[in-house]
Amino acid sequence: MRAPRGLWRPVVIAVPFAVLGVVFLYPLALLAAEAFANPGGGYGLGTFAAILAGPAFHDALLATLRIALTATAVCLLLGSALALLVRFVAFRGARTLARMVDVYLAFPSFLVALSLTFLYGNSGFVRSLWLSTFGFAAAPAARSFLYGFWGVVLAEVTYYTPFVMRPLLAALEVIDRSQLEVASSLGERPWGVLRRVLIPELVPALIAGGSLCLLLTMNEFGIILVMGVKNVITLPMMIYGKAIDEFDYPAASAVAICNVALSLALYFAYRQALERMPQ
Amino acid sequence: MNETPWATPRDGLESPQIRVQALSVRYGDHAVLDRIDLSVAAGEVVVLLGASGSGKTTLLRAIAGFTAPTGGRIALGATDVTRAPPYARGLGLVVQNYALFPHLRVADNVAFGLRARKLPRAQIERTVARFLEMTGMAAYAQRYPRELSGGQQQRVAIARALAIEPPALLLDEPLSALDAPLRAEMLEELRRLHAQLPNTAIVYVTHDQTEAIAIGHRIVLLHQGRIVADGAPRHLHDAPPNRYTAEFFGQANLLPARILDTPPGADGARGYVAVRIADRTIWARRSADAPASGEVLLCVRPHDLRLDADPAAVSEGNRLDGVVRSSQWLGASQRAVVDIGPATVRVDRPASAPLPAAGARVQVTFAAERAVLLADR
Ligand SMILES: Nc1ncnc2c1ncn2[C@@H]1O[C@H](COP(=O)(O)OP(=O)(O)OP(=O)(O)O)[C@@H](O)[C@H]1O
Ligand SMILES: [Mg+2]
Repeated sequence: MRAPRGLWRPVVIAVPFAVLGVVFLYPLALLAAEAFANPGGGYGLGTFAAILAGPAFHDALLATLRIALTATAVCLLLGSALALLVRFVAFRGARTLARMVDVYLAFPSFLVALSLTFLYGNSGFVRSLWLSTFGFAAAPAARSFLYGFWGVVLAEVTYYTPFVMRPLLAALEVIDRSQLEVASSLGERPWGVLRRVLIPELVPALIAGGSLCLLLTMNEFGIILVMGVKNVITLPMMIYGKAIDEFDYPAASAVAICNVALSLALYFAYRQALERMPQ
Repeated sequence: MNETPWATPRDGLESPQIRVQALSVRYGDHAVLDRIDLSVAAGEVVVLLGASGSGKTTLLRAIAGFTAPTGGRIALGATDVTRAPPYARGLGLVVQNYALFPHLRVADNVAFGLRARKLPRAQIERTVARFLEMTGMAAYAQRYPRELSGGQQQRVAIARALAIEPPALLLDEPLSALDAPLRAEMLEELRRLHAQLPNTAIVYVTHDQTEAIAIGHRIVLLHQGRIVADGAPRHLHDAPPNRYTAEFFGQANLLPARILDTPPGADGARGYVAVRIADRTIWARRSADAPASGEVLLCVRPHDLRLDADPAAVSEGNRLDGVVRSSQWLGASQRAVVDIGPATVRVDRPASAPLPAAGARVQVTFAAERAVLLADR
């Protein structure tokens, strides 16, 4: 294709920016305007001050970070173990499994939440099996663990582990097997080879996968909504509650701005980390 | 020819550094190595030479512990290591693509094996400095591998393998990623290093015979998973034990010949055998496993043949009548291809000699001690 010239050039450049402005920046600006508008007129930090002062925001922020960090840590451990398994333990279907990871990334997250509900929910498969085997008296607590902190973590780990595996598998693909062999000929046992060669060389991939995972779990909404978790209020859930249940749009916008700021901060930290890598 | 004018190994064959006995490796029905016997003495440099797919790498990897043999034994010194994992063998390994650890600086790469051994810090530093010095890489200690040239990376790889002071160093085509001048320099470097570590045995895999001749005390020629020749480079060149060795090693001319039962003249007494080739009687040496009678192959190197332009001249020694098929000037030498009835031969001559015309009738002459008889198989 020929590069556009003359008069067309500014137009061709302007169109994508215009579209970006209309569909993305303008709504964002409206959101910011809502958040920074004072109830009495004019602009200020009144809404923010009110939100930040209350315990609700504090609790939501804490819940968000706890869930995101826990899920990311578990994803990193599980994802690394699975990626190493797929790469180094020859078993039938290892390649297929690696390819399925890609397909899995295309699924919507709430599907996972839904399927977990069928499995472990209050009227799910596991509970029915339990009831039909041991009777009602022996049944565990009325509400499944699924509707609490660990339920959300389980769902997020189930969904986001492939996001960690993807960059790890790519990085493992380019690590030369002879490096591992040389390390072992130099007297390093398998565990030492993992610790001194493999993991250091995987650090960029771990950072990439881990930060993506952290970013996505911090903003996760679909999973929690579909699971119907009532007592776990994260920032996205708080925004939803303020906007849909309480019609408090300024408060919802203010929380949303905080959420965006958190995500951006994380993103830049991730870029910094990658730039400091020796490679 | 190369006389290997450098330190020969001390006589240690009673307790070889590496001893491989009846080693076999098979994948399914395919025998990649077939009952290999090989001993490497302390300080000896053994080159595993062979065409692609002959099993050189497999043999080296079996010695290093990365390929499990399906039969046979491997011993290092007095210890049987047939089932020992690579990290317990303590051998130095250098591979074709260097395999330096990209996240570690040069000094830390060299220190890798010493840290695995949990040696005291001061000792590690001393040893690293010593081997960086020895390989000429001391000035690069703080660099990362990606900041080095290919030759420098290979030096670091060698320093890293030597730093654990292994009884034997295993090298798999260590120079094949380098260009020709650098390769020659690195070969010289390896010989110098070995002179400083006279007890370290070296097993060097290559498919390049110039490299093999330059570095090997002994060359072990592999063909389809078997050892077809094992001996000093000079010996394999001058008296190849079989046809494959003669052809692989130095492009010998091989002429079908027939041993004469009643040799004329007295040459037989000097250990020479008379054979018949194209109605001429030719005298030649007999290799150890050539038959005593019947059909054999006469092996003679291109540069041991002379051309005499006068077909009627009566020359001393062996001669064959031939017709020049083609000739070519190659800079330092010239090569003529000559038809001599049952076969064609390649003749290498000094570049200054007149170039024979195609179709010219010539005599091909050669000394009896430069011709050797081989079994035809
Ligand atoms: N893991 C394996 N499975 C099946 N066959 C193998 C395996 N490894 C090697 N081979 C076969 O063994 C034979 C010898 O291989 P090897 O790598 O030892 O050859 P080589 O002499 O080092 O050749 P090159 O000069 O090309 O490196 C080859 O035919 C190869 O296909
Ligand atoms: Mg090889």
